[in-house]
Amino acid sequence: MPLGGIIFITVFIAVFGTSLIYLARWTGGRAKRTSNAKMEIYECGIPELEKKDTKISVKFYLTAILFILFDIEIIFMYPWAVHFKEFIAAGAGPFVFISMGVFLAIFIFGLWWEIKSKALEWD
Amino acid sequence: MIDMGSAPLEITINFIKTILVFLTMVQLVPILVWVERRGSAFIQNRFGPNRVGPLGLVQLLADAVKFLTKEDFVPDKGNKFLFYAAPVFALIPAAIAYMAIPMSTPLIVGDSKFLIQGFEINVGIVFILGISSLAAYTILMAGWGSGSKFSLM
Repeated sequence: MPLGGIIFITVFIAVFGTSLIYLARWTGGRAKRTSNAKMEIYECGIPELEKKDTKISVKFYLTAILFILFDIEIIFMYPWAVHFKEFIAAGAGPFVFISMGVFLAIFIFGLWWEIKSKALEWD
Repeated sequence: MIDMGSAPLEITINFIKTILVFLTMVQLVPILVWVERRGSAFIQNRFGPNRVGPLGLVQLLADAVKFLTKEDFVPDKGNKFLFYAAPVFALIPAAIAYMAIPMSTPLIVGDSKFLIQGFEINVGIVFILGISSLAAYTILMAGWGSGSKFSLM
């Protein structure tokens, strides 16, 4: 990894962007409070109903965590699939195949348990 | 520094090159915005920007002057730091992804090899995909910073 280049450009952009923001403030000036409605947040012109950090149903987090779990599983399968032919050539084909079978069985059990405990149902 | 070359001259040139590639990317912005606006206008049987300069090419320059003279505004309920930081942060993943694109074959001068790109990376396409997906968080940051549920969505 060319870490030096990445760190350098990150710092450079931070300085560059911050100076642009300050340039815009210098040339444009701060916003004047001509009325209270001007400084309100815009929600299609109607008065805001709830705060921004309103309560969100926990079901969204559950769905997100389950998605990440089954998404990351795919990442383990890519290198396995890429090197599978080399394992066959080395004579370790059945062992590697059964290993992936056990891995997938655990995940399919997880999916079955998920469905059974009604984690995938919304209500 | 890590992976920036061995000789002092090489390191200096690599740092200058990094800035140059970034400035190249910034120079691309007006022309790409022009292509997008004018192109979509022609697709929809409109004219698009055609007043400022030949074919409206200087339109973005005029827009930049206009943006600079607008007053500096943060909503009362917004998160001030996030609201200001989001555009700065949005540049970072874009620039890092752009740096990984090779522009030409390496230039060899004497013993030194100069790459015509920001930095060389082993699996560039995966790196670009991964870094550009980080850009979503900066958009989320801008929405959260404004304090408005509509912007956050």
